[in-house]
Amino acid sequence: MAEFLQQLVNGIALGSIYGLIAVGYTIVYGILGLINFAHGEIYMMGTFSAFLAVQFAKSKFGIEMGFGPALVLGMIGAGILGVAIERIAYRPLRAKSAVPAVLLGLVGGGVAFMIVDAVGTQLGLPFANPFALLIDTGGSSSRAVEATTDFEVPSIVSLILWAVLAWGAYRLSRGRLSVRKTTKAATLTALLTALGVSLLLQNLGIQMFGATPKSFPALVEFYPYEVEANTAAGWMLAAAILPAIAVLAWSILRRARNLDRPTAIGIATGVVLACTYALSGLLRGEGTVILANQDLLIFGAMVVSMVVLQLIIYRTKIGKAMRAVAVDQDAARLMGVRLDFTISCAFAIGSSLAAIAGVLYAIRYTKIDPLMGALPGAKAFVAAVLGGIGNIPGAVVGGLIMGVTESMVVGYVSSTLRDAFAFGILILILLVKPTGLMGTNQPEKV
Amino acid sequence: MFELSNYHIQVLAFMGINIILAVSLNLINGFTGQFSLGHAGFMAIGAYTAAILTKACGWPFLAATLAGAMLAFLFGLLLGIPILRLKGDYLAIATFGLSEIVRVAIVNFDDVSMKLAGYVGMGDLWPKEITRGALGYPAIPEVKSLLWIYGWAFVTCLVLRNIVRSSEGRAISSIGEDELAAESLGINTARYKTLSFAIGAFFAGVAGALFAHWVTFIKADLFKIDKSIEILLMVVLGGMGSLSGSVLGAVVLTILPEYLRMFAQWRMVIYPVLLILLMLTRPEGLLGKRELSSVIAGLFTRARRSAAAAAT
Repeated sequence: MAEFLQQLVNGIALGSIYGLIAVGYTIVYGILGLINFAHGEIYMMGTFSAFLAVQFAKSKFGIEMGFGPALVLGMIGAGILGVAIERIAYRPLRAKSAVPAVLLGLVGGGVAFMIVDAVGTQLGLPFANPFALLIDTGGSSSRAVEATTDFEVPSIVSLILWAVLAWGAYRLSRGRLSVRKTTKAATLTALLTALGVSLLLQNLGIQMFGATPKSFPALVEFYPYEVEANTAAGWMLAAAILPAIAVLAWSILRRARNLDRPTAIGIATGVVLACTYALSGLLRGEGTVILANQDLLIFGAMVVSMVVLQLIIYRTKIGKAMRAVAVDQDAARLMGVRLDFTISCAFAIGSSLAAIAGVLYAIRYTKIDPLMGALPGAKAFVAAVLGGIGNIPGAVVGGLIMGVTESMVVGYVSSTLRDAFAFGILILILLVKPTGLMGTNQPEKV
Repeated sequence: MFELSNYHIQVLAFMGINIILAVSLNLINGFTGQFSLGHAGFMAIGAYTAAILTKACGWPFLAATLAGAMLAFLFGLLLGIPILRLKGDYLAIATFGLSEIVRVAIVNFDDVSMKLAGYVGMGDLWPKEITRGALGYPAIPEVKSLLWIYGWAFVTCLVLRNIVRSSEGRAISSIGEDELAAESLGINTARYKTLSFAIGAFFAGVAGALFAHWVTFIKADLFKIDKSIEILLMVVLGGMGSLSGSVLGAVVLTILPEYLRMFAQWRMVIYPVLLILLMLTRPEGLLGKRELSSVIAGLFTRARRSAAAAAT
């Protein structure tokens, strides 16, 4: 069963990445009731900020950045982006406020920049892509390829110009526009806004980084551990599968069946023992399994992030605030919880988790491009729904199930059908149990 | 008379196809209030069915179009029954998943159907190439006629207008207003939701067939989520629950990208920004729930009233 174990290992690594992304969906949904469609793009942008940081340090200062700093910078980049998206696009839907002039500023600055650029090109002074300054990989962006004229205005000047123009547009538009509130169809509006943000980030990514895939530097060198299938089976039973089954059985018994603690422990132990027996028979076999150090890193990072996240949510003040807002926004605000700050924190946490997933994915699968977030984002959403949206352990379990299923489909059915299976699972789970494996049922109120 | 260039005719054709798509999606999203992100999937079904029937089986264009549309209708009916039990965000995601599955199914159709035919024992009889997978379906017989497209657009608008004004249409609108209230008034919500979903799918299939025979080359990637969002945007811009609004939205959003071409590569950046700004400033769309005729009539009465006020 070496083949099966190998697919299981691949699936768990992939599933850990899905799980990390799914947690971001679930946190935001739990607090705001909003599906943040842009989350897949935050994952992409987080990966790219790590990539840019590494490239920038290498080309400008000659520093070879390690895994840790790159990860932290990616998390910071994604966190800032997540908070900015919430501030610019989602908060105006929720609270009465002026249309964020920041967005108009950026757009207005962009349009003004394009006009200046067009005029400049006519005069023989093409401006370089401002972001080419950061990338500097030679011909990676479409603009960098185009602009081969001798008199090219340096990209730093372009960047400053854009910033000045954006600031001007921001000052001009501030306070001029106000939002008209419509209570009806609020979900639809939010959903469309999220779709818009997602499209915007994708296309902005294509413009800034170029559509061609880039190879992410190998921050962690690939090193395969070859393990006998029997030994691997033993390890995995002990380390991952059995605890996972135990936790899953435990939570299903406690939540869905409302059993008391001793009974649940008893049944869960029984399930685990039965599974041990069945799996140990099933998994015995010849051959070797390759455990990549990167896969171990991915799984480890996922576990550590989840532990830290649980600590934040259950042991800190901001975690308490987040839980309070998730239960009842208005009541939480009456109790003195700073609503906006709490929501921003949720976005920051979810986004930095997505960045962790992105950087790990980039190290494991080496290629990154601006559209890399679309499909993992959608699949992670499926994972969040599968686990019960709003439920953090559920998101991780859902992610692992998705990853393992996908990898089994690739191994045993057909690699082109992997996406169909992912969405098939989604439709199935929505029809059979829309609240997900570990979600709680909320009756519809009139 | 002035001559239209090929470019203008092309834009006009796409405008007509977009009108069909937007108006039919408005029945699902606007009137029935069921958020569907899967319109491109039905369009793909119609496009592929009609293209295969005219090219490989030599059917006449109209018959192939109707067959493609009927298949989309059947899919809408069968899939609508389970899917439409879901609400809001979940429904949107499920329909998105459906259209992805349609796309993947088209790409893998040849392999999978070949294998299945092999199991049944008719592997030799089964044609090797049906959808031609990811490479796309080339050399579809060309039907470049604005008459067909605008004829169908007219039929679509007429049929949907009559549906909306009929008693079924009132039931459908009441579901859009408040599903719980409609159900408590004894309206069979599941039935009407499925019906409107299937009718929308039918016309999406028509649009797909027209599209396939206009461009003569289709591939599954043309019918991705981007296409669904594009159609949705037309509906939202025009106003959810306004048929003339959808026509307006389709016209504006077919022409606007052509003008945005002067920004070349920045076009696809500006487009979503406009969507976000629209959502933040005017979430109900240009016309809201009103029809164009009533808006114009409203303008006249206001003008008359102000004229009367000026006279006194």
